[in-house]
Amino acid sequence: MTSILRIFVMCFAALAFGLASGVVTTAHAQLSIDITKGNIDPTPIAIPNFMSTDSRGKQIGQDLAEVVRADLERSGLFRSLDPKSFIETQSNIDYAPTFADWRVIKAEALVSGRIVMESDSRMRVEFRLWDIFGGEQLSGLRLAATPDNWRRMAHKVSDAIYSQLTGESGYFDSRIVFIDESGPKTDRKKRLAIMDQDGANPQFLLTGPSTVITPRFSPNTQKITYMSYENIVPAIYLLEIETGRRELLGSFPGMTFAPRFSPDGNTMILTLSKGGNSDIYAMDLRSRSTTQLTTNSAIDVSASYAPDGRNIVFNSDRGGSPQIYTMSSDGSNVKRISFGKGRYNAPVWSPRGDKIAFVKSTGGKFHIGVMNPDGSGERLLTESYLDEGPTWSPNGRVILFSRETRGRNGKNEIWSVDLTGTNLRRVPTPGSASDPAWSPLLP
Amino acid sequence: MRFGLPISLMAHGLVLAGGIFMFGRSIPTLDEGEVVAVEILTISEFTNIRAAIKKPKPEEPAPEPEEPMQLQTPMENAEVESDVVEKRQEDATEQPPEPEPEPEKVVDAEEPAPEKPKEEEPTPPEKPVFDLDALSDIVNRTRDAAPEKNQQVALESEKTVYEYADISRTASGEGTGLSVSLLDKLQTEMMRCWRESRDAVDPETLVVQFRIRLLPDGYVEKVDLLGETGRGPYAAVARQRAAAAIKKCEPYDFLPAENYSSWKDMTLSFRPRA
Repeated sequence: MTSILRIFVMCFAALAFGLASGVVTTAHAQLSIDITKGNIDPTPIAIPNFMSTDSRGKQIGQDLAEVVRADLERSGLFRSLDPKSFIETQSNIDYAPTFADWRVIKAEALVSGRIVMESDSRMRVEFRLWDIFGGEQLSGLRLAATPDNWRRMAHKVSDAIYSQLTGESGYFDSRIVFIDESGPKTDRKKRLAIMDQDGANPQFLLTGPSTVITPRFSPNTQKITYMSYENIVPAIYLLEIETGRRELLGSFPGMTFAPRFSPDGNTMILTLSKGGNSDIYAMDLRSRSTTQLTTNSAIDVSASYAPDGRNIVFNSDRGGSPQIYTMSSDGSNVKRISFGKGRYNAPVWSPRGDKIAFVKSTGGKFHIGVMNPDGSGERLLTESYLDEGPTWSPNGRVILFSRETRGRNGKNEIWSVDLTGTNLRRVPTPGSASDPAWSPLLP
Repeated sequence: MRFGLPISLMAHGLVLAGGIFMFGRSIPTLDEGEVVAVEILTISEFTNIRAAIKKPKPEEPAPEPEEPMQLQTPMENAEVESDVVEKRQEDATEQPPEPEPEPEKVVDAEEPAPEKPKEEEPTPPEKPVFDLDALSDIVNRTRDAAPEKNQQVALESEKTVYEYADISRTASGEGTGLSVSLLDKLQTEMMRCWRESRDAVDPETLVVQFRIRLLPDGYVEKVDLLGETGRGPYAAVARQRAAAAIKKCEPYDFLPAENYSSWKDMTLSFRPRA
């Protein structure tokens, strides 16, 4: 009897609650609209030349604005408006612009900046970023440097704008190491070189005709590791870019592949071939001791850490064909994540942690693709005769890779593509170039 | 075991036969009848009344000015066309003599000027008295004389906006809000104005909700942030983009003016897809 009474009370309570909810909803009835779809077109942005009272400052202001426009345009997320279309000419960045004038030309953001030449060896770059439709200032920044460093200042301005308008950190104030290639295919010279991410300021890092491959940046310092074939036995070196100091990490008999740093920069992960079997090892850079992580009889190569350092993605043919696998950083919990047709190679975990880039070959074509860390959401971003060696931008939004053109005189070039796959661009290099590695943001 | 199969078969057969016997008769057959066509009417067709204002009177075209009557020359007296031309030429050569100027009237300077009429001292006007009865009479007379003066009428500039009827009426019924097509239109416009945060990590978590109040001309009067689900820089950008979209889409003059009460106060939820 008690239980029947309890059920009755519960039913009554539920009914009363339902009625009450209905009344409340009706009482507050108001037009409510869900907007689930927006546009993803590039943001129109107006960047007038940075003003200055000094003639040298004016020239720098013009060049700097040009670099900022090019940076943002290249990201694929912005469309730089033609300065000829500007209606308002600002004479002072300390006053709010006439927003209506900028709305007319469909600008959604405005960058107004100035160069102040404090002395011959010191200048100040100041700018404000305005939200045209919100009618407010989004950010303002002041940078100081030597006039010779105006390009870096420009990249820093680009990073600040990009970060403010997208919510993610920029990648413009960064560099790319790559292998500069010269000579015929049969006798190709490979030299280590570096340049800004936009292809400016290219220079060789090493003198002499040594053959170098697979350079990789440390994720938090301006150091790179690479493999050199100066001697018969391949050796792994550590190079400090700023000082040029070079350190031999080890020479390993047999085949050695693709050393890569851990996120904290204290460990290196690489493939060593012992007794005819290639396995993945972790090397402690302080003690130089190595730990074997895979013990499979298959070929395990191209290991890359997740940004949190807990997991590793690698390539193995243990399933019959090269596929992508993940495992814990101690070598346990091995799991295959790629199941598509074709051969998967060179997986690299994004610095953002949400994607894994890879090379896929199928149907006689090579592709750069991305997938989620659990293997879902595979998307192919490029298609070519030969695309290889993907490397992520510091913010995990753009991928650089090398592309080889077909033919006897085919040459290597460096290309970039963003996560959407729609913004494919060639990165200018002095000559034939391959094996790019993207640096972290400069300090 | 040997009799298992026959026993099972017999048992199943009995159950089937029993079922047919028990339920075969208990299912009544439906009576056959005529098929009656039924027309379904929705009550909203009669209860949803949209607001309307009095149909403006078509402007009567102004009467064309009548041409002055011209006397027709009788056919027998009509001049031959060539004669008329010659005569016109003669008229042109023979200029009429100029009229002689009239001599100016000389006014005698010593003639006394006519006396001005004596001005009477103006009497002060009576102080107006506020007569409520008189005012009421005027209103009543206006109603009687011209009942259409009390109807709401449209301005010339707004004639395309309103719904018209013989007399003005207010909206009533549940269906007087925005129609589905208008909601679609609003969503489409917002889609054009809103820059989606597709590049963010887990964009579907960046929901931003605003309450907006609009003026009758479609401009935004007030925007209030009701809530947002994301955190960090991505959320800040999502909020800024949603707020900019609201401003970018104004004026919302594509929404029907007669439904102003439906759209003057709206909640907009910006929900990016994964």
